[in-house]
Amino acid sequence: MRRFTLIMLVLLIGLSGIWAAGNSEAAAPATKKISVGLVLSTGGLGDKNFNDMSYEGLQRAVDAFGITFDYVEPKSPSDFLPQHRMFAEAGTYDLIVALGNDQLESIKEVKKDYPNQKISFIDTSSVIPGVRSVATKWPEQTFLCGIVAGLGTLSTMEKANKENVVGVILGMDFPNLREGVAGFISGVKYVNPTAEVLQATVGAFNDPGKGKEIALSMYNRGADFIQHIAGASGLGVFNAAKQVNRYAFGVGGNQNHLEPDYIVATSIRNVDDMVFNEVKALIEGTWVEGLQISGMKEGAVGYSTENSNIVLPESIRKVVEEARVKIVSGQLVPAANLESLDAWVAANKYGK
Amino acid sequence: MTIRRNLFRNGGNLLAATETIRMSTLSLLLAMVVSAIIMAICRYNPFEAFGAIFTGAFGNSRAISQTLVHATPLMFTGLAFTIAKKASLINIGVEGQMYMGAIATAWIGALDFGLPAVLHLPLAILFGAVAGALLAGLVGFLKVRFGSNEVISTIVLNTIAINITGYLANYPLKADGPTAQTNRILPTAELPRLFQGYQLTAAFFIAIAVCAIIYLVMNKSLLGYEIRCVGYNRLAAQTAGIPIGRVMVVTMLISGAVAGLAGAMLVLGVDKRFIVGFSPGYGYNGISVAALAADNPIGVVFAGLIFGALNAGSMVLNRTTRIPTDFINVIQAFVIIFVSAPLLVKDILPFHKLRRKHDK
Repeated sequence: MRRFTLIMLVLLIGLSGIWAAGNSEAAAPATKKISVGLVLSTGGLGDKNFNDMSYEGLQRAVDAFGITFDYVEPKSPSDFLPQHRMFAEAGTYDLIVALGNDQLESIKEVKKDYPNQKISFIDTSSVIPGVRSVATKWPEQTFLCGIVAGLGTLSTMEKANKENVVGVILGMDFPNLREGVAGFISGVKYVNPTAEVLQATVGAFNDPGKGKEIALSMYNRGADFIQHIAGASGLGVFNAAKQVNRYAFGVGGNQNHLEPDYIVATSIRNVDDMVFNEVKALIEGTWVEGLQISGMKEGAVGYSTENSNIVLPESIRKVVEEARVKIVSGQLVPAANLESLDAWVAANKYGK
Repeated sequence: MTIRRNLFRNGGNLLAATETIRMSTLSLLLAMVVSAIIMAICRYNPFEAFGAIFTGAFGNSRAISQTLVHATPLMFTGLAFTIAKKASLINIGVEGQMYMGAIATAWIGALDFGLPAVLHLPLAILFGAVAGALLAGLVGFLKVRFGSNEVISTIVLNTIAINITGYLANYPLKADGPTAQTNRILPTAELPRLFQGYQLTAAFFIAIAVCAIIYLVMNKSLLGYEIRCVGYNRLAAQTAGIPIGRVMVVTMLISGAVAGLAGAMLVLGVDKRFIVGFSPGYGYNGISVAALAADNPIGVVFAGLIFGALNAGSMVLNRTTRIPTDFINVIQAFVIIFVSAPLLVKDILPFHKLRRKHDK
């Protein structure tokens, strides 16, 4: 055993050498700063979407206000509770930012034991006493891209075909994402009631290969525009659009630059702003509990063609802009869910 | 020494048992050292990392509780893999069987029969075990009856099981609200928490008990003898008159039942309901646990605890440092590599005794 111990010792010493050589910048000032704990969703960092944008939002708060933050990446829903408890128990975090509605019960339980802990609960419409819930309107986020698809498939746009078919692809079958599907379909049917909208679910947010296969089969069935709501699986949709020379829509942060010749627009949602604004509200003293739902009116969601090389026909732009104005003013409310979609389509038609 | 001999006498001898323990320990240490070197190359402080992991795993009573909570499902899945392995069956389907067990348990647990806890809780557990067993039993049946390869059929059935349970939790069994999950189980079906504010439940002790029972079945019963015979040499077992088809199906049934228990315990003890995507891959991590345990049911308890500690520790690592928790997976991967390549370990660490034996 002696040789084994010796080898281990040598390795340890070597290790400290390697580490010490490359670690000279780690020194933290000792002033009292606002400290934030971030509990990410189970998707984790690297999704180029929800989680990364939240991280980005806090990073901006670091630059703007000099806060510090720590984050945790739950591996499963079972981790939410201990991780929230860990932050609350530490007692040093001025605010916990929690991502995703599935953290609801853990937050309830921790809030019971630590009533003074401030928690901002992002992307939920659940109300918990003492917690600030921040939600966006999914139907409003995808509605305008739905209009582009509904008109585009009838138009003479370069990559559009004769079939009156478009598609929407979900990452996982989550109820709040289905609201996004409802928004997209209501946008399509608002301007094009007879259009067929294909729907499919990848089953994962991190499977671009499968996303691509599903998109290809939709394009083969005549779809010329596909909206994805599928996280990293959506990257496969873009790839498919490029392969068969059709159109796609991005979701979340502006994705148009990824395939500017094939992505017409992105259904924008600025999660980084949502998270940044929570810290800002805390610092400015305007942080209050309760539900904050923001939509197109507040600029939290919308649609962007920036960075896309595709030029939309003026006639389509006009309709989209009209609809946007109507939504902002409250005259037009996209279908809230798939169940109410048929009734909504019957009641709402463009130009009437 | 006699106790140890009895504990590890898996049809082998004392020498093999101590050798196995030593190889597993060395593989684990080696995996940690190699991971530390990779951390250092990536400019992370390995001492800080292992310090944080240790704090998160054993630093205080809550950390220890988390270690035991994380170890529980890994002990079940590791055991499930081990059982199949005894008959030389590779059950990659533990993950899917666990999902089936979880949804069945969540379904029964949320139904109001007016039963007291002494009946409702065991009933929910039983359904979880049966659901897992049926899925695995199907694999055994397909193999025996049609000669299908169990590795392939279990992989394929994983996808099917996960999607079926996803459908059930999204539509027929969905609870109200925006999250894809089933209704909360009734208090009569809950495994109570042992201490207020801690996630630890009796599930941990059930896991140890099941490991012990499986150890006894494997080593002291006729069935266990038959399973091991089939595992050592299928043709010889057949020649000796052992009904190998029946034994393989029964082995898969037991393996699937234990996998189902993993899901049942998570539902009844930790999550209190079935949540879509509840598993971070416990079924697959069970393979690492079984590898480190050298396919010994008692070893599974310790291997489960070690990986449970790593996972619990990764939470504190995650919060207090900027070191990616992916290193936990790196450590696990190296464990598998070293355990499955014993000659590699022997060459890296030149012990006199091992070297001499190897050279012969």
